[in-house]
Amino acid sequence: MLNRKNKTLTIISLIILALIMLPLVLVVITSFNNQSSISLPITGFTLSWYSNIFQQPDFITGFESSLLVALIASFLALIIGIPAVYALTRYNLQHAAWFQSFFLSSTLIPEIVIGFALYQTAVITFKMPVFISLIIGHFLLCLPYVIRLITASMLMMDSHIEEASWVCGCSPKKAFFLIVLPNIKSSIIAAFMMCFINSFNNIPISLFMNGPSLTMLPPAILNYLQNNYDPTVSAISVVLMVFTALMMFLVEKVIGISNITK
Amino acid sequence: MANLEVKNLAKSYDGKTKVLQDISFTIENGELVSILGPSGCGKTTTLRIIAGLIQETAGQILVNGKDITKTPVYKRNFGMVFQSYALFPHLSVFDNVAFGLKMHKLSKQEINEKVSGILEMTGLSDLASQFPAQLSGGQQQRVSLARALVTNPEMLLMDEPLSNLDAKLRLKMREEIRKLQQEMKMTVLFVTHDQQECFAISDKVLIMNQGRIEQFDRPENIFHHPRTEYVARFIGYDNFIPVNADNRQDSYHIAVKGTRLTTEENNENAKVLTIRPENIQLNADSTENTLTGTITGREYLGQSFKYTIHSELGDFQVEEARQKMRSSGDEVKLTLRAKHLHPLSE
Ligand SMILES: Nc1ncnc2c1ncn2[C@@H]1O[C@H](COP(=O)(O)OP(=O)(O)O)[C@@H](O)[C@H]1O
Ligand SMILES: [Mg+2]
Repeated sequence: MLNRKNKTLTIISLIILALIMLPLVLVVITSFNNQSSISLPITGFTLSWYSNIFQQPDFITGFESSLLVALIASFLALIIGIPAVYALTRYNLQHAAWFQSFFLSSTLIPEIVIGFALYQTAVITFKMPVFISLIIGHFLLCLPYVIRLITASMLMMDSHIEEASWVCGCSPKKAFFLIVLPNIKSSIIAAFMMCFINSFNNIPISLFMNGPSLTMLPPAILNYLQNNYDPTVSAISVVLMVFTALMMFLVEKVIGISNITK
Repeated sequence: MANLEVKNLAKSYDGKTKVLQDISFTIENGELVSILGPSGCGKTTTLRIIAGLIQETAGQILVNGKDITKTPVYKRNFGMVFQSYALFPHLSVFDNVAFGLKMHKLSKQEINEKVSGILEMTGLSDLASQFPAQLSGGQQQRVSLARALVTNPEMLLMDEPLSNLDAKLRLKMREEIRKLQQEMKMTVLFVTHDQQECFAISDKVLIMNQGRIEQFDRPENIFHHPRTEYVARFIGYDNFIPVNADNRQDSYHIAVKGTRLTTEENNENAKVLTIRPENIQLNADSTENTLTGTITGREYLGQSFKYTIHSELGDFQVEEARQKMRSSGDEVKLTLRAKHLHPLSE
């Protein structure tokens, strides 16, 4: 009985996996096609679309600025989010639930609205540099991931271990670094990954701040796609997939993916 | 180690409900004192205030005569064993135990020596490199004890340390704790809701009820001379005979509903007389404090039988070790020996 159930489950999982993977596989295949439009079946093999990536200055600078924005926004979200969650879960703050909702509220607003609002207020009205506005937008995008993931693991942690460290002679400030952080390490890394990937792939917010002064990668790809429907887009998609997979692999090497999902 | 003095401690979490009221007691150097009471009576609150983990609403805590009420928890140098053990999950057994020493900035060599020493003492030497998640409950308990002791604390605070262990291990651990305590001449405050456990290992027992002290005395004194009806009930005095001033004949004699009862203790202010179920004799050859009753209920306890006996003075619970069980409906003579019949004023 159990065996048959397991078999059914395995088959369903495989079908779902196939549905997810199939488009990706097609993208990979088309990226090597020697036709000048994205099409199937492939008629020959070429790497020229990959080399074409590097002929596009927008892709290079876009990658650099997307990487930089994603890194800074993720770190900011962690540095502000972790202490906020700590305060919300540990101290009997008044209106704690209100704060919690406030921190998560940016998930309720469509990202395109955040982008537009930021553009209107920060860039147009307050004349803030585009880069700073981008960081603010991506930070807002990242914060809810930090709040959710860290809250979950903070609540799961036995608060007595902190108290035990105080009794052992450790001040609460020190205990935050010596006891609390090490015990939520895996959710910090998980939160960082969620932040980074979501920021790096974000289109709606970046779109508004995209311009001659600053190019982000996803809008650059979109832009390219509008003008040339050739497999360079497939090629750069493959590069991004490999890049993400590599990141996952590194994290897995460092702490183990099983630790993150725990 | 040190002696601890708690003076007029009071606590309210919400400013209205009084969780602790007027708690005062002293623990002498090298004594093991238990706080005993039902769940919710304020045991943990008392312990946590002494540790400095929460703030008192009023009162003082003195260690060796020095007021530490305002000293923050991490400067009090107490050892504490938590009910959940609260080991640091990310540190090995060795590093768990070494943690406090590192906080006190001891040299590496000193830390190694002290940790190895205490691990040996608690039988944990082989587990030094294990992590808490790999240990059994009993082993975690030992690590938590080792961690609390290694810094040579002023005193050791333990909050129901045995309640997560199975019955057999509990017995063994409580003996170990007592032995260790006596060898190291430790001052210990031990919280429990288990009466047997508490009487077995304590020099003194503090019985708590709804945030107040009911009695604070040596276990044998509490056992033989409970001060209040609450204490008596808590430690197994199942029989209570209400009396009032009109019943008193003189300091040692009381007449209730025609039955004349003698007590060894002065019955002044007595509101109730109490006696343990195993101290009532059935059909004894005596006329001392005697009345008759009818068996209305029986229960087999293994070593003995327990009867419910209806009499003029109400229902009595009687425990009798005997080969054969008595029958329901039997008429029996109850003897309530004067030396076992205690007058209580509260
Ligand atoms: N942090 C808290 N906030 C509010 N009330 C509390 C808190 N901790 C304990 N109490 C209340 O204080 C009383 C005593 O609790 P506690 O000291 O934990 O009792 P015990 O350890 O004897 O079971 C209980 O009524 C409990 O509900
Ligand atoms: Mg408790």
